[in-house]
Amino acid sequence: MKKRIRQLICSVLVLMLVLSCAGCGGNDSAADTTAAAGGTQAEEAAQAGSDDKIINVATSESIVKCDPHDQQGWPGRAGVAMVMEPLITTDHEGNFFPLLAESWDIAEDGLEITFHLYDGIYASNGEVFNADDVVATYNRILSDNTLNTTVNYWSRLDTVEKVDDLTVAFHFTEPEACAMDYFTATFCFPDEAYAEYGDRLWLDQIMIGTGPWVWDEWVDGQYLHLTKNQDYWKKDEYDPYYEEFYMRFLTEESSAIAAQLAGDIDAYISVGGISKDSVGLYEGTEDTTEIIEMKTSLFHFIGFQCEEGRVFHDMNLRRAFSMAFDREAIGTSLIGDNIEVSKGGLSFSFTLGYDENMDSPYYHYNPEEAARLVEESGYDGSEINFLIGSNVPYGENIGLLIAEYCQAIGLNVNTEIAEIASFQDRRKAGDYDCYLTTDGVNYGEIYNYMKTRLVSDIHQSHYVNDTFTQLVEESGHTLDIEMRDELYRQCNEILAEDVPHINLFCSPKIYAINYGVTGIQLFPDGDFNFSRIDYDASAVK
Amino acid sequence: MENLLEIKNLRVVYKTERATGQALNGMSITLKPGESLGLVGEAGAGKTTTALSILNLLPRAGHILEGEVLFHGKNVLKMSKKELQNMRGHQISMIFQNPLTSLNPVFTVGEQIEMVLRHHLHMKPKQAEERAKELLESVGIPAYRLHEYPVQFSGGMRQRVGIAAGIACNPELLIADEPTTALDVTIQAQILELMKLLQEQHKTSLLMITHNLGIISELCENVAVMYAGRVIEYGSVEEVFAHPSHPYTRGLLGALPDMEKNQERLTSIPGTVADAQNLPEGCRFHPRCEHCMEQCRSKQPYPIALNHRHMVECFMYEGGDGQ
Amino acid sequence: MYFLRFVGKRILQTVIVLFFVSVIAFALIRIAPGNPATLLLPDNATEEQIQEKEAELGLDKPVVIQYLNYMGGVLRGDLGTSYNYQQPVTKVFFSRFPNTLRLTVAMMLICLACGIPLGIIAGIKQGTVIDFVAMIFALLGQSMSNVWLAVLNIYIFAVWLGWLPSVGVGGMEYLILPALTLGYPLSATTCRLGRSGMIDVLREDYITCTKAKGIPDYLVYCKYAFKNALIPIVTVVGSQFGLFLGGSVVVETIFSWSGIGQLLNQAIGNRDYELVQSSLLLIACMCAVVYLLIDIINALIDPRITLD
Repeated sequence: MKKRIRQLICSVLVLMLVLSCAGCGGNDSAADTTAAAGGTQAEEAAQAGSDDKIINVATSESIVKCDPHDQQGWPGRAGVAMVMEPLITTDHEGNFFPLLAESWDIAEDGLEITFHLYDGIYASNGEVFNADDVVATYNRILSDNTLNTTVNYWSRLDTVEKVDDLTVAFHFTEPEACAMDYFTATFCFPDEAYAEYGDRLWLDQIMIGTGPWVWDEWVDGQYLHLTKNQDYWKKDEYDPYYEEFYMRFLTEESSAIAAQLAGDIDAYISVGGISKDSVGLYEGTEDTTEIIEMKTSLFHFIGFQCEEGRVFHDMNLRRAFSMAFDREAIGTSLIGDNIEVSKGGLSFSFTLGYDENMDSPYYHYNPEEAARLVEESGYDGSEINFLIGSNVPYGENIGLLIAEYCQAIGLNVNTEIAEIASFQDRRKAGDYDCYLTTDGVNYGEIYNYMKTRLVSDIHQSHYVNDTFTQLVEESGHTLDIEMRDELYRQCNEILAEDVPHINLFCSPKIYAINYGVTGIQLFPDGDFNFSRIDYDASAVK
Repeated sequence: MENLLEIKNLRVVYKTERATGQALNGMSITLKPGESLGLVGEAGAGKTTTALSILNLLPRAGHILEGEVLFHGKNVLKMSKKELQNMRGHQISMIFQNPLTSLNPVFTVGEQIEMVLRHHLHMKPKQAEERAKELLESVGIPAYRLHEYPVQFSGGMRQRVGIAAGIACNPELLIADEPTTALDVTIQAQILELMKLLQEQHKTSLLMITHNLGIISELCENVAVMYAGRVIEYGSVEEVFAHPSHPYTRGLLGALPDMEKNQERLTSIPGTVADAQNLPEGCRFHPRCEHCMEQCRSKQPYPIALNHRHMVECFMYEGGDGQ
Repeated sequence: MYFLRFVGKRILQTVIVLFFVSVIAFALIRIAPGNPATLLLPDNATEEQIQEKEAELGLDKPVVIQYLNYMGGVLRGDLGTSYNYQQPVTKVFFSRFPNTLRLTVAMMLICLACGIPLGIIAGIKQGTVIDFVAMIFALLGQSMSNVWLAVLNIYIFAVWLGWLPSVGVGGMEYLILPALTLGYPLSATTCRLGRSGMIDVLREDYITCTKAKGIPDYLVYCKYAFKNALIPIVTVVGSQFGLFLGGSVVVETIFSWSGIGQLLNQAIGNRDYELVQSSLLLIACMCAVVYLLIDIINALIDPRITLD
């Protein structure tokens, strides 16, 4: 009797093992039926490579959701941008171009912006796209205060109004300085589709849009698969060679490079750029892969805790810190020759407020002067906590080098690398003496940076300067680009003097794209766009 | 009648990294069909080594230097694997010393009996099971316990299982290596009864290895006394027990408490048992012998027949002299 | 009878363990510094925006209430909603879990197919060339870091030889490299265990006894000795299976094999409380099932366990 039970249990176990082996042959999925379809397609796609009409682009960050108005990272936005289109596009240097909107008018007071749409736009399901759709899109944004797009861009947008079938008017409560930039990052969906599906439009990955690509499926942690929109409304302008597009999420740099070397992907667009040391892995592929170094707006900066009683309350000590190290030497040795060193304040050749004559003495490498200031200040030698986020590119190395320089002039700087979550926590509480992190300047606009980090002081640095505050507030209301330019120039003058923040340098980003793949737009602020990706056989060597 | 088993001048060593132990140094015995021979000696005398050598089952460290083991005239040491496997468990069976470790803990006792039935007698599983049940009954274990595991049995019962497996194929020779040493006295008695019964029923030859003289007198016709890897005295049980000749044998028998006499101290043999890794020259027993002579220290004694039923290896009896 | 009682006892123990796991997972992720609300918003979000987000996530309530709400949901079958994905945790978790399961099963198969036979043979043929080769095999496997092995595999088989695809999830050809990366070190451990287990078993009296019964060598080794040698192997390999069901972060990240190891790792970095808690609970559940199975297998192999 007992033996029978044992035999039965044995056979059940063996059966279970065999069944789970069966899972190895195919692709079994528990809940998501879409994932099951993805398995075989992935196989086919990878086998295709660039001989077929399938293009594989790798990014270093994943997409976590499909909501067009709630994307946090660039890959997500880039993916959505291929399927749903914004009213206008930009070259990220202050110039704007028509996309859904043919032309636009900006009112004198900046409180109203009107767009005139093209006639004959239709979505991938044939639905006609006109002013109704734009209104539906923006009304959705206005109705939900938790969306990334709403929070970041549209806090000053009051209402959206349909003027006629092809005309939409936007009304603001206050002039929104960066409004035009924000329009290029807001994607529109067709109103009938939204009325029918509501949020399921992205929760169920239905994703109907006017774009040149059709959303097939997104598989978490693996890829986003799009197919060519055979009936794109602007087909005469853009009709790509490729029939299928895969955005593959490869978070590990060496794996992504290996995949490119193996021919499994055609382009590697890393959000942070390929690190300088890894470029050597591409040796020998000069004929197939182009290594592109783009100057971007990614810059490193150091913020100080200026509260009374703390070390850096003394402005001279901040200046001493800033003069203690050689920005150029650090930057070129770690990152390369294509960096742009800051001369004072948040001022780089592509930002608004750039003054080519800016040359703050405190941004020079002047250890003698720095040492003198330290001595005069009566600094007691207590440990200075230099907090660095673990996700900062080259952060640890930069921190250690700076600390060494500082030790040489008598400042007892101690670096501390913290995980992102802890770093943010500490910084928000003001629990640091100084911190190192990076930021980017989208569209050349530095308003957000000035406003939130310095005026609103979200990092609890306790730095206050009324003139500065005034200048920044004013710039937020001014739509005139030249005026803003002048205002920011004055802001930077103050920053270069008071040094509550010191900027280091601006780094290029390295991308690797196989020859023949064209149409990947890489912008100087680090953003990228794949919606016009194409293949040019003549470009293949 | 020809001999069933003949061991001729067997020399076996155990080689380890540190030292070489001379386990058997010219061991010779014979066994006729139906005979029961007792093999006596202290621990380390080479008794188990002898048993394993008969089956050619020495462990890795054991090496046979010279000698023959003839079973029905064929040299076991030169047999092929197949021949050996056919012989073992079938014509020659062995019962091991420690019942707690000689049964495989993860198989039922039934399996451990049935395996010999299936392999040697080519029985079908059903057949083998039935026969195994019979065998269990014959050793005094209820048949329904066939599917139980060794851990569910006491030491004595496990030894019985071992015996059942040993007799399953009606072997010609049964080697019992101290089968009751690990058991208490009352169980001992039962096991011995059982073995006597089986011997009578099946006329099996028995090689009884033990250091217990009482068992020898109960079960065996003849006895061979071993010391340091050689048989130093051999003869019928009556002869040897009545007239122990070798000083060692005398010491052994003298060490037994006499129920009749009033004894203050038991006779003991001075010194410690010979160390196989460091055997003395000449007669291996000489360091402990009160009758030690000059030649004992350097010359190896040879078998001297005292009469047709008694042999001893001791220079004391050279020249045919008696005591 | 003993057997069923044994299984019943183990199941009860499992339930208690899972309860403790839920409390510990809940507490640990909250003790870690960092605020999920902050991480969900851009770097320069204001204090009000952060607080609004916190309220939205339910983080403004007292911790005990949060736990009770969470457990209430769990008992109803609702394992919470991921902050980042804004999807139910079960959906996110189980969309990735099959990948981890496949990888773990493949790893196990490689281990069973290579490690056990090699170890057993090495144990039987102790001291010979085979034993030597097996020991080298095991030594290499146990000393190689899995990061290095992963990258090495990719560069040899995908980049240089081009036999297999480099990264990604897919069918058999995608599975081979990650499974090998995990399977080889495990095979090495199993080989050693098998070898030492076999050597120990072959020294036992009952093996000599079995040989003395005239049983042919192949049966002695493959049936009578093997079953005993299997006992330590099952425990170790089985527990490794349970361990890897929780995902292997390193291999999953390098091969972009989107599994729950990577998911959990990212979730912890993002302080995605609900995803972390429920993932840990689910993984603990699965481990518990695996360990129960191991115990059952052990009990089947070695009857002493249930009888003692």
